[in-house]
Amino acid sequence: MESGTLVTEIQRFAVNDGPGFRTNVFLKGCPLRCQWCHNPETIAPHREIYWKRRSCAQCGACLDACPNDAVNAPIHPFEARREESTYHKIIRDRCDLCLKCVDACQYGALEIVGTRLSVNEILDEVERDRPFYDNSGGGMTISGGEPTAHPEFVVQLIEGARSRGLHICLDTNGYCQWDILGPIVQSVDIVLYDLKHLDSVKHAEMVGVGNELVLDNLVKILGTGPEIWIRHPIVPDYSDSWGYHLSVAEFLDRLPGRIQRIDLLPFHNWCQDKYSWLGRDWPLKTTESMDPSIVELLVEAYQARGFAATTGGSGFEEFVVRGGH
Amino acid sequence: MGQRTAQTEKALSVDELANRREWWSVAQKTRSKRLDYLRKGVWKKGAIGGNYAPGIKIDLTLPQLFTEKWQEQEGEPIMLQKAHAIAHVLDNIPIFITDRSQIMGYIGSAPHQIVWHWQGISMVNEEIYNEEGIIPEPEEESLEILATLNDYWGGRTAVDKLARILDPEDAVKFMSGAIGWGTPTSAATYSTKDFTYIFKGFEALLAEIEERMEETEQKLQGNPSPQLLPLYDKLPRWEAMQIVLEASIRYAKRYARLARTLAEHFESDPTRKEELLRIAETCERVPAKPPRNLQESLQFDHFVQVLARYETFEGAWPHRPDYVHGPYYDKDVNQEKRLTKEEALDLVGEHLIRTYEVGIFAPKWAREGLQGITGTWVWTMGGVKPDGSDACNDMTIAYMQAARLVRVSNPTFGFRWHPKVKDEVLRECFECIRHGLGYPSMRNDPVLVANTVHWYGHPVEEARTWVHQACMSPCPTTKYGCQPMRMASATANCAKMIEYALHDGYDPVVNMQMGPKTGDPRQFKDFEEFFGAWVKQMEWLRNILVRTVNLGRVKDPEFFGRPFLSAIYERAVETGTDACDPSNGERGNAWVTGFTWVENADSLAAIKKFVYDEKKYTMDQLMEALNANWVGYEEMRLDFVKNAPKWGNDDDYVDDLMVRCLREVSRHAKENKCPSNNNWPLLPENVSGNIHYANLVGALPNGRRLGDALYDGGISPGPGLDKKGPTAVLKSCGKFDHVTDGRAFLLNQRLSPTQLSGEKGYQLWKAYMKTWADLGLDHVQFNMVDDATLRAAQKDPEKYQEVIVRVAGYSAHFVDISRKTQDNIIQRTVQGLG
Repeated sequence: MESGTLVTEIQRFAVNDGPGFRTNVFLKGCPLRCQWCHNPETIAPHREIYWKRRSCAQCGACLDACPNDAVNAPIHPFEARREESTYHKIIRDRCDLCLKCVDACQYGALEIVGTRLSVNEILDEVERDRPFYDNSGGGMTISGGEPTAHPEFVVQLIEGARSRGLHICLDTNGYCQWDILGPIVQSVDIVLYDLKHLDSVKHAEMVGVGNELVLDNLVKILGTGPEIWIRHPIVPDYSDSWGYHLSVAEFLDRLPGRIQRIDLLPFHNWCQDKYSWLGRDWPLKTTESMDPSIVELLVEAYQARGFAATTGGSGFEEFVVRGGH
Repeated sequence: MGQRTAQTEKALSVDELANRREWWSVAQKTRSKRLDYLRKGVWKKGAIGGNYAPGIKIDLTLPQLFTEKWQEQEGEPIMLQKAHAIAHVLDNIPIFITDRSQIMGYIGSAPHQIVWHWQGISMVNEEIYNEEGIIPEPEEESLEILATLNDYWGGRTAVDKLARILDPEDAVKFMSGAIGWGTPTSAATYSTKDFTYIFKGFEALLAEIEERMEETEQKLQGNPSPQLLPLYDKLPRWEAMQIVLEASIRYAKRYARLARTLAEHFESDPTRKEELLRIAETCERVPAKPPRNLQESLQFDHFVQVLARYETFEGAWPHRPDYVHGPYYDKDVNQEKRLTKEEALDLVGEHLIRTYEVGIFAPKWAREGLQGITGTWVWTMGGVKPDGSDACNDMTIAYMQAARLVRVSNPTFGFRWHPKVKDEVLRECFECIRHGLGYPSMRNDPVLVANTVHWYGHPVEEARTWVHQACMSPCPTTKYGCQPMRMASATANCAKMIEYALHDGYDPVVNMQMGPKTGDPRQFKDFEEFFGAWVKQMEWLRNILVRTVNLGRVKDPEFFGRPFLSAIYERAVETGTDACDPSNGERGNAWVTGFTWVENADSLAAIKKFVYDEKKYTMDQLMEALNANWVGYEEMRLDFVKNAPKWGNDDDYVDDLMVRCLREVSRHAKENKCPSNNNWPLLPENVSGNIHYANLVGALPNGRRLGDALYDGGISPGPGLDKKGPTAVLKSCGKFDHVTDGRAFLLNQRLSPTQLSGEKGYQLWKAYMKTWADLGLDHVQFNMVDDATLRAAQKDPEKYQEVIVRVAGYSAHFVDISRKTQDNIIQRTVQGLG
């Protein structure tokens, strides 16, 4: 048995990732490179260091602690906090992640991202909110990163959750071999299945790879048991046109199995700080967050075909008609 | 929220305004013309930032009328003397009728005037000299009147009399202001009122008194014996009750006469003329006789509340108006169709406005604590009937709807949730919360009924009649359950328990030995020894407060006297006693209000973990840092703030200590007895003691410095310290028993309007509430994370660490992210993110 895997966060009171009150388990590591990714800390499969400029007092303790000369000398905190400042505390290519600087920081400005947790450690935490799940149809959502990047661990996590009687959602991008995905999805209750773009070329443009495998896997999952909820990010000038969503609705309608609901997730740039904490640039930083009321209109493309569809993916929607398929 | 002109506001529909969460504009557009007029015409009496609104003046007529008659009757038994003085006031105080108003009665001579109570505490009376702006013009003349009044009442007030008999050492420690606050007298008080008794009508009460007096007079003609002697004292008390009841009827009839005169000679609008005649008819009927319809029942109720406040400063307003008035609403609206729903809503809305209008002078320090309201008037809604069936009715719904239309900050509501509450009623509660009213607070009825039975032995049928006695504590509204006087004067500044345990009972802020000498903690060998010291300090602190209140309570009939309250208290009428006399059968319902309580658990956890378990610091080092108020020990302080376990995170290490502290207190609560020989459980809540005591509590091991605001209340986690979110907070709070581990426990929670919008918002809240109930919590109240909250978080990030931005598959702590992103989120939230 694997001794554990890297988790970036266990988030209780998650209300937009499957039905009811849920606890989201964010696993670290993802094979895709979606340009809009709002959890950049979950991409790399290893531990990382956040440097939060707002919390940093520029005391220099990290500089003293670093054995690799991978820390920049302090500057005036106001200077470092300026919006346009390019100052970053960690010199990433010299850093060997020994984390001595994190220990030295008294202000919470340096943080480790990624904690290795075992199946039982995760489930013990998840189980703490059981009374909330019981009253809302909630449970655990395995998210990421990409859960299927940790196939053995995720199978154990699901088995463990099953034996504890927890409701399980798997939030996946579907980008993996079927012999990995198949065994994972068969014992979860709901698959939150990401669909990023129907057009493979456009898919490759923003995600780094074509969508053939993803669409293939979607067809295969249908009929294996779990409910399928499609999660489609809506990115400005990329996947926000009415015509495009009519075609997605049509595509989903023609699938050889039932899609229970579709959640449209409006693009936002609130994650730009996470990029900055990791010392990374983010081209979409200046792209405005989407006005949800625009996305509301797109929902109608799906409703017209009898699908249950939402903006934002609330776990508390009550549908008069739950899909016509 | 953006500023717009009235014109563009009109252009927006109610739905659009609701989407923008501009609830005041929504209310303006949806309420009737009458309610709009009455709401906008009312004088705001609550003080903002400690200051009264311009134009507010104290009423000098009332104390002058009272005092002139009081002096004339000098030498009479206190209750009789007071009855004469009150009657004189009620016969002569100027009265007025507000345009379009339908409910009469005000405490004072004019709507912009507030009552200055003169017979309670001379120290407070003299505060008036420092008050700018509220002395009526001409100021010099008014100051002379005030000086004459103060000269007379100085030394004669209830608290002056009490101070003379207090143990001097207790008095000095109490007066230090460090350990608690409150005035153990019914000069600053509140009382439960039993409307099933009162609604018999004052004529019926007078007849009952008459009968008792005749019976007693006959007894006095019999064979002399020691048993007869106390009867002589009863006769003047009954006479006093008669005098005030008769004066109360006359007071109502003055309104009837004024309304009739206006109708017959001055009013030209036929509709209003008809209303005035109805008012006249109503005020002729009540409170003399039982009410027959909704207007009469509301009018009767309001007269009773006003009359009680002519007698004394009632700072809370225990009431259950949906239960009291529900049958009259049902008769008028549903059965006889005498009123439309809209007409009924006008009356209910005005009931809230007339209550909001009441103003009573409080000294500046108390006003600062009350944050814009006159008193903590929490009205009780919902709940069950004595037989256990659902008590919610159409009036429950009407009050909730009216609250959203008039949007007053006082009264507020506390809703007695139970499993049988209908969905439509629960939705009304939710709408009020969603509309950002901050109320109703939700109370767990089955838990609190059991709690009321557990602590005082009230029979379960009586416990089921409970109302909020003040902010939090349930009290039955029955003959032997009603509590006539504020017992919460045992209000403890609990953070002193841990502070004294650290300092051998010495108070380093006020520089005197307060608690017992429990030893220098540097010499303690283990945590158990430290905890033992905490227990001793806790017991001492409760004892000194409870002692003082017990004494105040038992002497109250002698030092103050309440003829009106006695006249409407069944047990007082029956026995010819003052309502506050504990010997007349009161079962007892006392509690110790615990301010600044959670600091104990967090401090004990820090000490246990860092000093005793991990030995990361010695007690010497900790004491050194505390004695320096953490100055020069910032790194260590941050370690204590960030790395010591904190209450509210579902962390057994600290939660177990909380439970242990509560169980120690609950054991001791049964050793403390009130004058009715009943228990004194703890009730953690704060009102705004967290600010008041900021400069009176020294450095603590939770990382707090002298001057820092204390936690915001009850069992709520420290601001920004509940890092695991709302489910973890509820889990922590569910680890102790809300029946046997204390009286009630205040919990503040923040909710996001985004999460609560639409049907999904209601479903989320309902599931949350169901879990809250399953976990056995007795209280929760909600603040909205609105743009104002988020702006505050931008300014003061330390206090808002727990505010999380939650959208699908993503989360971040709001305070962590950059200003620009924060601004963006605020903008989106206001527009209603789905």
